[in-house]
Amino acid sequence: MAAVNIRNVGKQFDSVVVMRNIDLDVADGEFIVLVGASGCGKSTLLRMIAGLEPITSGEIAIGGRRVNELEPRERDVAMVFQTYALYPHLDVRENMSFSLRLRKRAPAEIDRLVEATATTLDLQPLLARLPRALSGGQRQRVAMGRAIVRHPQLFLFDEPLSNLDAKLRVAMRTEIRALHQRLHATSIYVTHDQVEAMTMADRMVVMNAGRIEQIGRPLDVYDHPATLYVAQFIGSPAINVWTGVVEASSEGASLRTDHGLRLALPASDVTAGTRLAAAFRPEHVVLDGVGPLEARVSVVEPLGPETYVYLDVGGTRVCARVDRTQTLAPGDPVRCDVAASAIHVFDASNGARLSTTS
Amino acid sequence: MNTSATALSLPRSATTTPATAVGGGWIGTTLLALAVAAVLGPFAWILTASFKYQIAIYSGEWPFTPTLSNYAEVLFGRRSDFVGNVVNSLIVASASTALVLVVGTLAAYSLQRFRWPVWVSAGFLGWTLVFHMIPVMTLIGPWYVAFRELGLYDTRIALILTHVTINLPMTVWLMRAFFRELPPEIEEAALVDGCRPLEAFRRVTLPLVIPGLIASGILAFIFSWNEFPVALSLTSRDLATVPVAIARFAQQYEIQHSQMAAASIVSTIPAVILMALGQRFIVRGLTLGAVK
Repeated sequence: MAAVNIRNVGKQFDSVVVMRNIDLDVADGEFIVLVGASGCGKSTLLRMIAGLEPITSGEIAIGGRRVNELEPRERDVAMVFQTYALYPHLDVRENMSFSLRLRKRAPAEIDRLVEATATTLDLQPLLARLPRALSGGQRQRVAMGRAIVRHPQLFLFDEPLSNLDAKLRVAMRTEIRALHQRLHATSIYVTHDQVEAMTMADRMVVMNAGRIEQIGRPLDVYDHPATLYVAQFIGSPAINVWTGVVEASSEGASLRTDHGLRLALPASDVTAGTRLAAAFRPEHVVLDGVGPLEARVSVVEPLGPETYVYLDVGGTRVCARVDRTQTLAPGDPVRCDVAASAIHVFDASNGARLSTTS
Repeated sequence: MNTSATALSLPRSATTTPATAVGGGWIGTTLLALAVAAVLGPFAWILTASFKYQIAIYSGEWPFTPTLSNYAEVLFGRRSDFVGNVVNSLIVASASTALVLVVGTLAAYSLQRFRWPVWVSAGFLGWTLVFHMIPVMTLIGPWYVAFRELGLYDTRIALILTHVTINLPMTVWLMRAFFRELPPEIEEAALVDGCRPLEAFRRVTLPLVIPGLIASGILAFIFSWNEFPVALSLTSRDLATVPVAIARFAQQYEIQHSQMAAASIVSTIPAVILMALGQRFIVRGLTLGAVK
């Protein structure tokens, strides 16, 4: 196992700069998730770590060793691809032993390692099958097995669960996490699914347009998004955002929104007249019947343990999470409030965070 | 050329027959019967002629008494060097096929996978297409001069090189289609798993395009086997290939129809065997990418 240090890494395709100044330190044994919308550069970064994509500038070190100039095979990393990329002409056993055979390990040792890995992943009955005779989930496990069997310094996962159906995806998510807890292998995992990122990561790296927006533990990122982009990307349903201008009054600062609403802001040193984006999560919208904001229920989404209610507040749509016992129907008038302490305040022009909320 | 037309139409008619039979009425059936007759008629005529004495062919005798004497004369006759011609053809067709597969496969792989500037790949592929459309006859003159200057006139090497040149465009296009179907991740997985680039190509990429190699190989072999004008122009009697030898049965004062027919039938054997073995690969190769 090894730590990974990414220093000031940049990437350029011809004259187009797609990534610049990426800095990331992955501790030994850590499970890091790179998350972002498609095209944000997360897969490119992963491929640069694997050596499949050359680095334009900066340095990548794996286990303290600079790997910029090394071929993928010299980096001692294993990668699980979104398409699994199993060798279609080799059976499961040959797929899993491929790397070991290339390294000229003793046949007895290869057998032992393959058997052990197959047992771990419940692949024993499938060892003699060709990939085309496997289901999607089984292929995914073989791809995992092919990576694990080598005991590499570093695991790289490129959206490995994207091609599975929803139910299997959730199951595999847990399984990969459990596997990591047992193997303690340093892992870098790329996904566009923020739920995967939240549930699997020790620390997550939110990327946007070739830059890192924020690095942090999932709940820290959720509770303290560093930028408006992160706030909007993490969390489902998405965070509510109102933009407007700060007004000062005797009770403290408040926001006069573009829709003419008024929202009390958390105590901070924002100056009157500044344009802001105020963001608050659905669970912080309180439907108490006495709040200052008048609203009308437009859509009700019961999920079981909780219910999401989409409200029309002065012409804007706001999502609120309510208890399932609260019975609301479309068209119902309600009053609501947002706790000032739960509001994240961002600079409306560049999305930078301005407030610190508890 | 005749045999290649016959051989190539086999898989095509085999795949279209059921659809037409279901959809069309008697007009369709009639048209189909005419097409089949047009293809098989001459072949049947040659086949029967190969079992007739020359005199029976002239007199149009029917029914006739079959004889194997034409085959015996062509294959074992003292005055016939047809076996030598078959050997020549086998050498030229095999060597040119092997060579065109190596060159064509590497070229197709490079054009498909490496990040060539567009003008390089498009230019190369466009040129191969243009080259494919130029009548071979226009090239024979320059080739004749070039090979005589190089001292390669009347050698198998000259014929092999020209057949490689002629077959290269088709091989590159066909193999490129097969490489395009391969997800690059499979090779990348091999690289990460510990392969050098060349090893990944040999251990992973190449085994996966074997159907393409078979399809291109068969088409190239059959073309080379049937090729007439270049073989006629670049070789003399000793190195004549099968089509040239067949043509020589038509001499100045006499056309040996019966022996010519027997030689023709013998010459179709490799093509028929190859097509029977490789038909499904060829149909797949020519329609690759058309249907998922």
